[in-house]
Amino acid sequence: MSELLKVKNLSVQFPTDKGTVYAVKDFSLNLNPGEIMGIVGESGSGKSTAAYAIMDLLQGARVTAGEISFQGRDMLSMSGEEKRSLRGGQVGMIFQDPMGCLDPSVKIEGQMVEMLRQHSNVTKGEARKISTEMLRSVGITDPEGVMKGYQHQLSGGMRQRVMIAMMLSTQPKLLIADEPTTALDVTIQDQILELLTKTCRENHMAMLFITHNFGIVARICNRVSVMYGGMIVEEGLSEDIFYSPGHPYTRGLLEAIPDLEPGAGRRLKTISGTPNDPFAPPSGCVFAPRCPDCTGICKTEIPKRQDMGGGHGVWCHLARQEGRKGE
Amino acid sequence: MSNELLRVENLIKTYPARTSKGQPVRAVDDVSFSIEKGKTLGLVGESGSGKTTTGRAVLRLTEPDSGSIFFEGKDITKGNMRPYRRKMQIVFQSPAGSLDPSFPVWKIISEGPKAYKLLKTKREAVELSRELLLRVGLNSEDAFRYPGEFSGGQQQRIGIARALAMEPEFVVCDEPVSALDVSYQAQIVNMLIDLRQERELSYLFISHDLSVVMHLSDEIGVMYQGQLMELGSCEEIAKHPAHPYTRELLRAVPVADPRKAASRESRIIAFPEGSVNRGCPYRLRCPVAGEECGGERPSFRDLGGGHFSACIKE
Repeated sequence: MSELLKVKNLSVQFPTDKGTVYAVKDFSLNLNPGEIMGIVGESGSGKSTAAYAIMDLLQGARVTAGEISFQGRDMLSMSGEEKRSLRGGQVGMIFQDPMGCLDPSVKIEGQMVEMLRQHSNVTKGEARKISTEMLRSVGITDPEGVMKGYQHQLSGGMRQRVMIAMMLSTQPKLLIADEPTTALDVTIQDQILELLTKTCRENHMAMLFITHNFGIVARICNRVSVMYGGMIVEEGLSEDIFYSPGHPYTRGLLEAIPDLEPGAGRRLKTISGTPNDPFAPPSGCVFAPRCPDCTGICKTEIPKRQDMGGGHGVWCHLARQEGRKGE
Repeated sequence: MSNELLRVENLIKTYPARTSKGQPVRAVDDVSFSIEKGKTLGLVGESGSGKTTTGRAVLRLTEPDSGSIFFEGKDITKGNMRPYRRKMQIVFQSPAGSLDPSFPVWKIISEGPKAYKLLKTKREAVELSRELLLRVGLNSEDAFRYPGEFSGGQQQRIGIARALAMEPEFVVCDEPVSALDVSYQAQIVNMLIDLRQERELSYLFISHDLSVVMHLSDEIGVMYQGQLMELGSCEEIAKHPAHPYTRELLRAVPVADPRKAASRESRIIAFPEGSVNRGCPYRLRCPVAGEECGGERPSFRDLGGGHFSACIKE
């Protein structure tokens, strides 16, 4: 299958008063049509920055190395005009806060129609009809009423649905979703996830889903990359990541999540320590300062990708033995 | 019942309409529950379900319109709260927003006891803060730093230290881990569990995250649009959820296990916005709702063993 999105050795830096900070280092991924890939990590892990770099939406940061190609076309050397026609057309993006993405002074209808007419050759009437149908397909019972209103008249869940309807109306090949359900309630989140996976299945849309929630990853993703300190520490099929995690960080995170069982006050497992100071990253493995299994080499050498087979890779000096033991 | 620490009866809080055309909002609508000494009641529900208002009303940080609150058998609904404030504390959701950025940490932690004249000198205040900082896993030197110098997880520890400074018996924990990353979340949950045991604390633990609530509560109350839909022990709620809304919540929580996730069904249902004035508030979204649900407001039915549900269908 031909790759839809290919990112190779991407690095992003933030110049600050106190010096340059690497937000993302050596980030690579391949995404095929119809595939859903999750990028998980905690705040500051670089997961959103990587996504913003792909969309060329970085503010105050710049890509210092690497390649990004979409359908074989180099995105980094594209003109502003070309990028604009991709964004919102073949590549869509939805954010955690839909309020910041919708224009407060334009009715929903105006925004949806404009979006469609930017990216496809349709009349206003056709655009209106497509928009109405899209709103209905995302579970909005009164699309005509919603179209005539403004974003502030809608609840958070409705706003996110409108945003998604708008993004899907141009039938993108790739959707980048940056924590689009974090601010929503679980029942509404469940519906939005269902809607997105259904679209991927039916339209062969690929999705890059950025989240801190392993539950969501388990629910929707075929493949996962786990990020820590700006770097991918583990990648693989969901099955591999959840059932035979190779990196101590992945294992730690998975064990720290309470399952949906009465806990009777059992203590949870924790990852001790705090994230790295971005101005003084460790010289070896990014996770070494918090790692329970840290050895001498971890503090001095950056680990290379250890291949565990089947696309499962672990950036850990101890991965080979550890991973095998777990099986 | 001798062990009962807190009892809330028919609590109601209404906020006035925001526009001239709008309806007043019943944030808390006839809520009753009780908490025994050393036990934890978890309140779950979506945003706007009234769980935070309930927590604040219990402490009378928001004055309820009607209803009664009993603490250690005494009616505290009216009158001066000062004798009880010491024993009843709160930990807020936003660690940054609840700490005064211009105060050093020792001052934040010791302000309560100082107001109650429990501390005489600055030295005593600093000493107490140092002790409590150590207890919540920070350094005693942190007493002289300012809130802005700490991460979110550390700020939440300071918020907990402040609540502990009054040596409370009851703490309202309002979404204490929601703003935190998974690795910090587990640390704070563990600390709350340890403190509960050490100091025989009782919690009203408010969260939208059913997994966390399930983990550290003895009993769970499920709220929807200001009303309690179901109340029961953790075990009962997990194994025999009686209300359709509780079942929907249990189904919708994403679990970190792809095989389990794949075995669950999801459907996209269109549901109208807004609230209802009559009948069951959940009926607009309820898969089993019928005509009869639009009539009387369902009252709690006793299912035995302290398990209650507000659904007339089952």
